[in-house]
Amino acid sequence: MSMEINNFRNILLSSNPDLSKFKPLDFILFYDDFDKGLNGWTEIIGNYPSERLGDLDALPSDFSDMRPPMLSNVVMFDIGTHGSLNGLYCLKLATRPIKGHIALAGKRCTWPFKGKIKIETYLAFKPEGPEGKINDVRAFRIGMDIQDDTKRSWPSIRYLVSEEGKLYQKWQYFKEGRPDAWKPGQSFQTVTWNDVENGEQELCYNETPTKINWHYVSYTFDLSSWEYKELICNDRRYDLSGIKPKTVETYPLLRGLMNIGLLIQTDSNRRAFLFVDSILVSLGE
Amino acid sequence: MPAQTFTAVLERNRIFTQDFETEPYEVGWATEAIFFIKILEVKGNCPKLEVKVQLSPEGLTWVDDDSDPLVISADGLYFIKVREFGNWLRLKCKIEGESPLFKLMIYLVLKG
Repeated sequence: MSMEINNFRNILLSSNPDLSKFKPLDFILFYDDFDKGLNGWTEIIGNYPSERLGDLDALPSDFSDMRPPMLSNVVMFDIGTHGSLNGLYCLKLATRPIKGHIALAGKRCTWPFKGKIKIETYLAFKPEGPEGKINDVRAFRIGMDIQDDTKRSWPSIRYLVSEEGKLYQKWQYFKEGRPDAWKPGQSFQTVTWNDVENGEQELCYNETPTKINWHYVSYTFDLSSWEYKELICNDRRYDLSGIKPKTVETYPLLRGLMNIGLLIQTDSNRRAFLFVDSILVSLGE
Repeated sequence: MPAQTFTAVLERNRIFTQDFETEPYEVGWATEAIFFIKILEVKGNCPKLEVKVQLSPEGLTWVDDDSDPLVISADGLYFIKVREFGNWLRLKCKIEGESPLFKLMIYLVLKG
C-alpha cells in the first residue's frame, strides 16, 4: 500500500466513529457491531465420530454444552438497562451456574492469505447477580483455531481472573494441549497456560456488581511464522514475538481453517458473563 | 433489510427426570418467540412434562406468564408461541409420573 493511500485510509478510519477506536491491519475480514445482530457468532460443539455423523448421543460430552450466545442490552436489577459501548446491544456469553463451566462462541472463517491476524475487541466481564464478586469469574479467552497445509494449532490468550477463589488478574497464552473443556459434573483444563511476561494487569472490574466497564483488547498472531506477535489491553502492550504454540497434525478437510473464538469460564456456582460490544478482525503483512 | 432471526438451542439431547428450568435467555430485540420442544424419548409410568413460560424483569426473579401450560406425555415435536415478553424468557418444566424420564431438545426461535 503506497504512503498516499495509507494516509488516506488512516484519515477515513480515524474519521469513522465506529472504526476509529480500532487499529486494523490492511485487510478487514469482518467488523461486528452487535447492534446489527449476532453476525455469525454461534455456539461451538465438538465433532461427531465419522461413523455416527449427526448422532447427538455421539457428541463428546465435554464439547456438547457451550451455551448459545445471545444479544444483550445488559440489564441490571437496580438500574435496568446498562447498554453497550456504542449503542444498545452486545454479544453475551453466559455459563451455567456450575463451577468450572465454560461458554464458548465462535465465528468460522478461513484465512484469505498468510499474514498477521489481528483481533480487536471491546469487552467486559461480570458474574451474575447482586452478590457476584470478581473471583466468581475464572477467565475469559480470545482464541483462534487455525490450520494450514502441514499443521493445526489453537493459539489463544486469556485473562485469568481467579482460580479456586484466588485472584490472579494476569494475561496468559496457550502453549500446548487442547482447548479447555468441561464435562457435566467436572471441569478440567487440558491446556498448558503460560504467563505473559509481566502480564499482571488490573482491569477495571468495578466493585459494584451492576456496573461494567469496557476494555480494549487486541491480540495478533502471525500465520506466516506461526508465532504470537503481541497483546494489547488499553495502555499496556505485551510483546509475544517468537512464542510458538504447539502444533498437531492436520485434520482432514480443514485447510485454511481460521475460527475465532470467545470464551468465559466461571470459578464458582454462579453464572459468569462475557459482554462484547464489537469485534474487528483484520489481516496484513 | 431482512428481519433479524436467531435460533438458540437451550437444551441439547439432555435427559431429565426431575423438575428444571432452562437457562435465562435475553430476547429484548425480538418481537416474536417460539419455543420448540422436541421430545426424543420418554420412559416411566404415566410420565408427564408440564412446560410453562416464565418472564423476568432482570433475569434473576421469575414469574409465570398468563398462558396455559403445555402438557407432554409422548415423544414428538411441540411448540409454544410467545408475545409481549420483555427482555427475558425461560421455561419452567415440571416432571411427574412414576420413574419418569424425558430426553429432549429445546430450541428458542426469535424474530424481530
